Amino acid sequence: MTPDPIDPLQSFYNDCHLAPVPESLTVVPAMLPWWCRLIVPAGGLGFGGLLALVLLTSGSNPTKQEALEATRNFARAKYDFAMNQKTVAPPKERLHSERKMLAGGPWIG
Amino acid sequence: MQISLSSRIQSFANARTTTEVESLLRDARPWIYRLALAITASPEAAEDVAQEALIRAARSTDKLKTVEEPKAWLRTVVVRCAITSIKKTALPVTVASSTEGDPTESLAVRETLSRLDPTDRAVLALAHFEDLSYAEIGQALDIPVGTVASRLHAAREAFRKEWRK
Repeated sequence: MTPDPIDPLQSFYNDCHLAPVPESLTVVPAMLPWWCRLIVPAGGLGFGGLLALVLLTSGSNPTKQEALEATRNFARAKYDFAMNQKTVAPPKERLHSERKMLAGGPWIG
Repeated sequence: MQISLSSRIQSFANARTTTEVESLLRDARPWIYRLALAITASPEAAEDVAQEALIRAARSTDKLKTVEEPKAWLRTVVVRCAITSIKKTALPVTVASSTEGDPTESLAVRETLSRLDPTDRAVLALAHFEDLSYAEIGQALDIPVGTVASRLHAAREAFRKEWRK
């Protein structure tokens, strides 16, 4: 009668019950739930976002409209200055100022 | 299926502490390794599988605190890790000597097992190593109880066929 191969299989499993356990096999300490591990990066992102919002709205980066308005005001101020120079300066300086104005002036037109 | 409030309270009251869970895993460490060895038939693969299972258990501490049968839950994890490991790698059977019996026969068994389908190996280990009932095998493998008998018969026939080669 041919021996059943299941016999050596069962013998192998019996041996497994006595197999030595590797010392390197360690029990990992209980870990925090997944949502706890999100707290620090979420907090960092939140704080960073808030900081970026404060910097953007602090006025250090003017919009295009603000920049255009500031340019016009500067140009007007320079024109007014030039006109004042024209009225109060002696004739020689006034001629010099007029020449500068005709030449295009240093102001933004 | 909705869990009633009273069941939830009862579950919370019966919950194990983190220390108890860690103690449970420490006590189960040899069994986890030996079950992995029975399925993978390789000491190196068994160590990897057992460590992976212990890591997964550590990540699921909340589950282990409240589950009714932690050993059954751990068994499912070990079986899944072992099947995944076998499918990922085709490790050659090492020539490490067995603790008992004829090393040649043990090596022949491990070589034969390495040629079987991973699920067949798991079924054989659960039936012959763990000596589980069909219901418990079905729970571990997440298959119907009625399928377990046919799967076990097929696994045994596959082993006999490979053995005679």
